[in-house]
Amino acid sequence: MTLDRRGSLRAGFDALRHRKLVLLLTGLTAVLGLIGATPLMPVFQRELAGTLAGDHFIRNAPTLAPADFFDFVRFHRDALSGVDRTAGFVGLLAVLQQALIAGGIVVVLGRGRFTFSQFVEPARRNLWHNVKCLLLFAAALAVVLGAWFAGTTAAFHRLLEDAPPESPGRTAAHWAILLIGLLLYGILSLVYDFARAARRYAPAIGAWQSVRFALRALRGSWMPALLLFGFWLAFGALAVAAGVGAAWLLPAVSLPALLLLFVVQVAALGLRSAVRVAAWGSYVGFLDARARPALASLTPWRSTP
Amino acid sequence: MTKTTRLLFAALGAAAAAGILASPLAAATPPSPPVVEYTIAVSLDPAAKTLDGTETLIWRNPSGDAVPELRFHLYLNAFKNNRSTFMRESGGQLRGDEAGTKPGDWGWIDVSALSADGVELRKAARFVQPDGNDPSDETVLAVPLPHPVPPHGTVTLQIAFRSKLPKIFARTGFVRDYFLVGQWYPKIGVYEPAGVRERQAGGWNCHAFHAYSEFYADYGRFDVSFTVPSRFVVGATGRRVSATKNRDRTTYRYVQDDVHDFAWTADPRFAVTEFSFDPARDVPKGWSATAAKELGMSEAEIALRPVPVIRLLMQPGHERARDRYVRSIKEAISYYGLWYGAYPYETLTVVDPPDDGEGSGGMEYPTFITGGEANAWMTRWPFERARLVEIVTVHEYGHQYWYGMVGSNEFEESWLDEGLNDDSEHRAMALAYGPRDTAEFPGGVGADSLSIAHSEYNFVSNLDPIRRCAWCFASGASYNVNSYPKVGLLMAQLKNDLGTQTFSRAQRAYFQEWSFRHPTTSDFFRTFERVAGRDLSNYRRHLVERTARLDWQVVSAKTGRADEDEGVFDRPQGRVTLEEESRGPEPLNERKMYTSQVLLGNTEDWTHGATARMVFEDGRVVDRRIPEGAQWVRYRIRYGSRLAWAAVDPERRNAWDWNRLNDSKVLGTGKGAADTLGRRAAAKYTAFAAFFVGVWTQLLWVLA
Repeated sequence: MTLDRRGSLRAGFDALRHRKLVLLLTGLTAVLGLIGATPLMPVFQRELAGTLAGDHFIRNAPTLAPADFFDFVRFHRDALSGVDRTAGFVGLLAVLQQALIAGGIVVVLGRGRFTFSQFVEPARRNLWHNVKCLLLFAAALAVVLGAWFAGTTAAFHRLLEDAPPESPGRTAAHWAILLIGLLLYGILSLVYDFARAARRYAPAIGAWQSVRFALRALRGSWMPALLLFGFWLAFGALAVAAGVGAAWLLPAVSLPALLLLFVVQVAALGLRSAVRVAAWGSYVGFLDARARPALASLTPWRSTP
Repeated sequence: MTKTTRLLFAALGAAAAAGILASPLAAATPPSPPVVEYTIAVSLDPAAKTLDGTETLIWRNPSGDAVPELRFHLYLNAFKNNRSTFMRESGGQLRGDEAGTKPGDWGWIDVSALSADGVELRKAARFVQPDGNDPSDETVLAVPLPHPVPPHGTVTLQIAFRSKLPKIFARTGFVRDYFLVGQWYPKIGVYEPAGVRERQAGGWNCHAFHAYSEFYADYGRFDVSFTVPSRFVVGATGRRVSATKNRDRTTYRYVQDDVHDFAWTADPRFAVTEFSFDPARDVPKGWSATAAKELGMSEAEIALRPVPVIRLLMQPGHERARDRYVRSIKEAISYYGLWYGAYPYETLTVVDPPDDGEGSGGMEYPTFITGGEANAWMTRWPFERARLVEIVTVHEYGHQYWYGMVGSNEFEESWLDEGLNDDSEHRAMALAYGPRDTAEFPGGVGADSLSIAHSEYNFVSNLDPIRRCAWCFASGASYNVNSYPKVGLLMAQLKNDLGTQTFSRAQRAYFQEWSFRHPTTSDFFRTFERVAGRDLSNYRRHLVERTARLDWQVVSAKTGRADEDEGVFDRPQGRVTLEEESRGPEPLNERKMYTSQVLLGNTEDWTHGATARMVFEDGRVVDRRIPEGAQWVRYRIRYGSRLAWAAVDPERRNAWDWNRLNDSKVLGTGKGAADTLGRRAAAKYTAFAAFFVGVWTQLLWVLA
């Protein structure tokens, strides 16, 4: 690993000193989670606390718990579909919330302690910029990944239809399609994140110009940037898997175990939030060394002092 | 029920209790001489996906009628075009697979020559549509004879045919160079004499090939030779008699008696595992004793026979499933053999289909079954204990009994083979894999067969009864639920009501009496009623012939301080007036009394008893039996503790109950049986729901 990347990674871990940001993301996620679960709460209260089903579930009673579970799904489809709908809405809120928060994060990270207003002001100011960047990213993602997966699927069917399912050619093709798809996503994601981070250096830069900034900043540095992206993606995935796994595997029947479960769940959400903040710290650290020349090449924009 | 009938059943009950009727009945034997004798020679062209063959068929008229016309199934014509009955009904989608759309994906069968005892018959032959006005369907061929086949006489037919196999999507055909050759030859229908299967007059039972039906045929002998390129590995119904190589092609000859169909397979990539079943080595510990106890027989009486040649033909990449296949085959042979009767054949071939040929998986033919779900994903963490491989294997093996040996008519009464087999499969799986027999996942969650069957039952609209011709159901889902899981629940209900021993003895008796014959729903109930010594018409009338449901529930439950005496009372010491204020403080040693009231009701149309359970906060449990005919019952109990919870059918003996969630109400908690953890569960699963939505929003951060 080069010194440059090590520096960016260190900047990422250094960003974790901003505990307030991690707590903010964790808290907002927990609130969104509770909002999403709302349609189920009265049903859980009635069916789990008000019948023996809850007892069967928590004790994982053989044959009783599965039967009750299936009946719950059958007879409370409305509540479950309510959660489904609410989760969609909450997901949209989460994306917009990130657009808001990213505007503040990219400005305050790596610049020492900050006050609440120092965070909120750029967040508010950069919101519309970030939404525009999000729309550009979403459009690019749809076009590029849509074309990639549609094209490769068609080619796959044409060329490999008669190959046995477990043949090396098929397996290699599957992995290639997936990995190149991930690479394309990584490229677009980096451009998107760096375009949003452009506001750190040029507070009034527009969306298109910030995309050009991102491309300039990445010129000659794609490999280290992609490695950074891959590192935080893998770390984030691991954090989610570890968090979900730990929460899932806890039996949580006794009261202390239940309390421990709640702590683990919040910690899992916090872990992913921390990875998010650290990734931003890395990206900002990476850009700090490249922003000035990148901006200089974009007339009429100049970097802020 | 008349008094005479009641007396008869009482006598039967007494006899059953004495073990007279439960004792094993003499096993039915295969018809001799057989009704059909096929001698077929066929050659596979793997490039053109065609079979060219000749068939000699000796058909014995099993009736006292003179039969002027023969009827043949030409099943492959179901795949000839999109106008066949099969394709119209299925829409080209079945068994989770879709029909191909390329020209080479269609399938058909042409009879190029047909003669009987030297007389040409083909010209007069015509396609008929016995099940309705579907004039394009060519799956049944009627062949008028110049001279009727005399009562109990024979006719020998010489047939030449060419079959084009379809791309696999429904049981038979090819993918690449994997061939599963089923329903591939001109197959004569069943001539049912008067009296057989409740027929008033003799006649052909030869239905068109429908999307939601399988097969029905007469028992006989198959002597089949097929020629394939030598690079192919093959497997087939029956015993391999010879393999003769001629340059780059090999002719395999297989023979089997006492079966009603023949299927074979060829694939150059099959990896063969050959093993045998030795009862002394392979019956799981304790099974023989359990079966003997349930059946009221000695272990010697239910001893199994070895199966000398079992061939497992597996696809490359599926190696991880090999041990699971082998184990489940041995468990299936043990379970069905011990509980119903020993497997009588010398061979069993198990075919593992390729991932892109799963449409041929999960099928049964005599001494030949196809497995499935053995792909690399399903055999790795976290799915390695999702026992689809085992379930499919046990189920399809079970069809050697319910379809193979007990030859019910799958077109008209699919529940008698699929449903009974579903029940047998549930019981075998539970015995082999415990209470989470179907699947176990990390974290201890999992499911059992019966819970899954129940979920299928109440997820699908209750439009059809169990007994209905396979193409008469409202939809494919309705056919499925009524042919499989609902019957599993019916049988579980019967088992719980009759007791495991009586039920197992009845099942064994039904198998033993109806092997190599064609039973009906009436025959099934006759056997069960005789062995159980009970009238079971209530089950047949409501659960098999109609769509009755049962749903006992706790309609209301409340508990509170018992009312004290208030007002004017004439007591031995004279008239007293009691009022709240005059009562004074309660003595410290006087126990408080509570009145608890529970209303239980069955809100559906099948009346059936249940057990009510009321548990008080001090841990006291009160059980009451609800009368059979009751639609509702109210219990009012005055007791020195509050009611903690009330439940109806707490042991889940009513497998037919529609909704289990409403079977209980929890009012409080206490000690012992009253100690319930529902509130904790509500908190825990609310937290989980919020957690998962939170994780979901964090996953969306990849977009933000």
